Amino acid sequence: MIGGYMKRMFHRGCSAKIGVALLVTAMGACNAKNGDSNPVIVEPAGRKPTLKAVTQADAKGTSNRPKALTTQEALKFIKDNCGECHLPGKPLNAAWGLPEEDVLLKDVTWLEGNALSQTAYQAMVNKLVAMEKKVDDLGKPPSAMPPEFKSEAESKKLGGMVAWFQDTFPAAVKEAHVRFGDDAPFRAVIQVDLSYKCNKLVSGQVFQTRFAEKALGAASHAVDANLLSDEEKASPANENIRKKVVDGFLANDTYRKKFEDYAIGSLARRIANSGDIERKGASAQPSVSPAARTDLQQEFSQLVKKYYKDVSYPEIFLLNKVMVTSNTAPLYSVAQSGEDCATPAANTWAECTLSEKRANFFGTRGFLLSKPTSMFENNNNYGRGGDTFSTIFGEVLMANTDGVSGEAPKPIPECLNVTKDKRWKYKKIGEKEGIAAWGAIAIPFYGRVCQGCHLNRHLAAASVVFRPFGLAGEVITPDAITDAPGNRAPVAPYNSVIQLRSAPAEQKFQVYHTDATASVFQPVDQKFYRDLLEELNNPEATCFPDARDPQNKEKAVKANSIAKYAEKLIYQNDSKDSRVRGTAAVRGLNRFLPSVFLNNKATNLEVISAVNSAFENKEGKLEPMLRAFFSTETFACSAD
Amino acid sequence: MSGTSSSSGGSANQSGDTTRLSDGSVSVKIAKKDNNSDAVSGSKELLGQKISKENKFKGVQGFLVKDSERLRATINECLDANLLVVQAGMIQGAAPVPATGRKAILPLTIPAGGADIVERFADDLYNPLKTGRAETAAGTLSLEYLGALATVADVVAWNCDFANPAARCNCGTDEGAKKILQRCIPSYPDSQIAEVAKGFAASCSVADVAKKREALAAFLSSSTFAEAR
Repeated sequence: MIGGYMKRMFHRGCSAKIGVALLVTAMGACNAKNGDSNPVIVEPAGRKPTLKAVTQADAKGTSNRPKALTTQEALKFIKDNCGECHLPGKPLNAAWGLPEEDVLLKDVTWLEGNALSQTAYQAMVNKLVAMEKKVDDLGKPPSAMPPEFKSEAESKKLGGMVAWFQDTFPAAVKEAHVRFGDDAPFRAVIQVDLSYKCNKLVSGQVFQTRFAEKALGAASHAVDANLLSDEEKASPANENIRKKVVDGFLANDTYRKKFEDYAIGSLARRIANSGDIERKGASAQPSVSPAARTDLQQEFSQLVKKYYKDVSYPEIFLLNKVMVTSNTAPLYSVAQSGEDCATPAANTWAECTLSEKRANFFGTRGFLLSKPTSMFENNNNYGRGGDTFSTIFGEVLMANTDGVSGEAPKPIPECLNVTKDKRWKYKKIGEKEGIAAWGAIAIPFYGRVCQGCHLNRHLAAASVVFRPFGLAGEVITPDAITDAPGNRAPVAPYNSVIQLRSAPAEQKFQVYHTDATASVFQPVDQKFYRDLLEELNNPEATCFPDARDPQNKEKAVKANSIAKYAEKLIYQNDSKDSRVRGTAAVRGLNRFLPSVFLNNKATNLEVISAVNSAFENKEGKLEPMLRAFFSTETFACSAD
Repeated sequence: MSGTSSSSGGSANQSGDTTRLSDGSVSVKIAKKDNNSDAVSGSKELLGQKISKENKFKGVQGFLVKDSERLRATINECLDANLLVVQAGMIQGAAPVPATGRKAILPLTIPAGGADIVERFADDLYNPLKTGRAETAAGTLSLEYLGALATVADVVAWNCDFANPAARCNCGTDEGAKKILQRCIPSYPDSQIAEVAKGFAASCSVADVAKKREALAAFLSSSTFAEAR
């Protein structure tokens, strides 16, 4: 019985790390760690993950700070203990990419510019503290790494490794401390400063410069435009001065073009998370060319620049349009997904209509490639659901793959329980057995904390509607999942991953699914996955349950496509008669603006009030909302 | 990191002394290793004093440093275009050309041609194209940033045509230096900029062209230039 197996499993080994890292980097499937070598099964009662913050002091220990490794020793430590999964060609290279060995061991240059250094450092700190506490993990992100040492002697070097990191990369360590230092594990990035007050406005001259630099790209535009009198330059940037600067610049065609390129372009790139197209999408298969990846990073910003004057901000996300170049048009072919995008001339952009399957921004190659996952992967498209949520709401859900699962789960809404995706990972080591949740309905079955994201923030539904898309955003049709022997495209491109998941028990990396009684395990096979895809032919494949009456199937909003899924998230319960719909997306915009233009993580009530007012009074268009934001005291506030 | 620490960064002919304060802020002084030139030292003092008064990197709000995109745009707009190109004569092993003050400034790992110098160091300069959805960026003046900025400054100074009085990057006159400062750091009050421009011009008007290039590079490596107000 499943209940008998309902034990948390924590494991070691590379196959385990596949699950861990993918889930950690994406939205959290709870307790989905699994592995194959030297596994350790921990009884639930014996392991209560600590929620205590890991501080710098914790990392250093008390007075006995370990002697730092030399750089040569530290790099070798990374190669020996992280290389098995993170070197090029290894399964987790996309999560934290190590360079080839010769570069890795040469010097620290590659690590200096690595954006994930802070996470790597914190993962080692977490491991160090976990070792001291004699647990496998701390139950907070990032997962303690490495999960397994090459030898016991290696494990004793970890303290020295952390000390080396502190000595060598103090900035990364500080960033790690700021980012992870006092976080609760389930914290989402919802920071609103309710008591914000600007104590001192900058001068008109500084405000003019600030707008020129932040919104137009270069400070010297302030000199060229020279919109203020000497008296205004010297005065605090009051409302009139701010308005004069913003309106003055945007009345000029030259600066308006720069405003589109810098203010709107950079905002759209950030909202689309386009940096991850290269950072995470480079190793996705089937591969997308570097030139196409470069263009995909601008895919959404090009669309926004084209439509921001005519279409409301929330509706831009729902447009069935995509902008293509000669490099990206082939990714939207009739054979691929039903589009027929003509290839434009080199270095130009053209608009193309998306197929029903891709539907809108959330079905574009750019969005999908920024979060490479699929129904075959451990992440099971939860990351794409989480990214959809954060794109719209401006809240980044914190992955909680291996933390506490909370109280006993509430009953899963009937309208969600339609899918066959009740996959679990099964494990038997010695006499002990255990399972870890994986499938769209398996994870909410695990606990209340898991339900917080997988039901309440609709990751379960996302897992269903994103099913037709592969790692690189390619469309997966049932025909592509053949029973033919062999693993290679085009005959059977997904056989290798399916066979890995359905490997025999002795390989200790199995995936089973259960029937509705939750008592029968069966190995997954090609038919299982074809059935998952066929589910989308049912208009009621998944749903958004009614919050107050989740078991009432009639009240639920049904969905079987990205179109319906995204529309429901963006419009929420906005009446169709509303003057402007999509307040959820403006909520997100209010959180992105300070981050992009002020480098502030928190938004505040002044920004929210100004932007919401512009949204409601100006038909939801982006430009008036940006004007409102740039005219706030918040944007004109002195850092002194 | 708390307390105070110092370290140095920068390219072959420069160093940046960075002091991290107890509140997490960073104070930076850009100095020349070569102190033989009084003009350059004078420039350093003037710029350095003003800079340290005006720029305390408090990390409170985000107007800290220019990201790679804004750094490129600023250099193109406030100086001349095409100053970011990596030339063969910059690479180690190239013979110095005394008459132009040009000498090798870049390691062999940076080949000539191709992407400009900002692009090559974009990740160290807070590349906004790689910044995640909910991340903030360009928030601290890191050692990596300082090192990359110094290299960018060297390349710009190397490319500057000091033989051409009309070149915007030519800081050899009071008027030229003032224009550079006004355009590159327009938030600086006009009333104060004249004094700084004078020192800047003095360091740029020396006969030794190599020193002119160092003076321009020193300004472009400064925290005042790096700051995004």
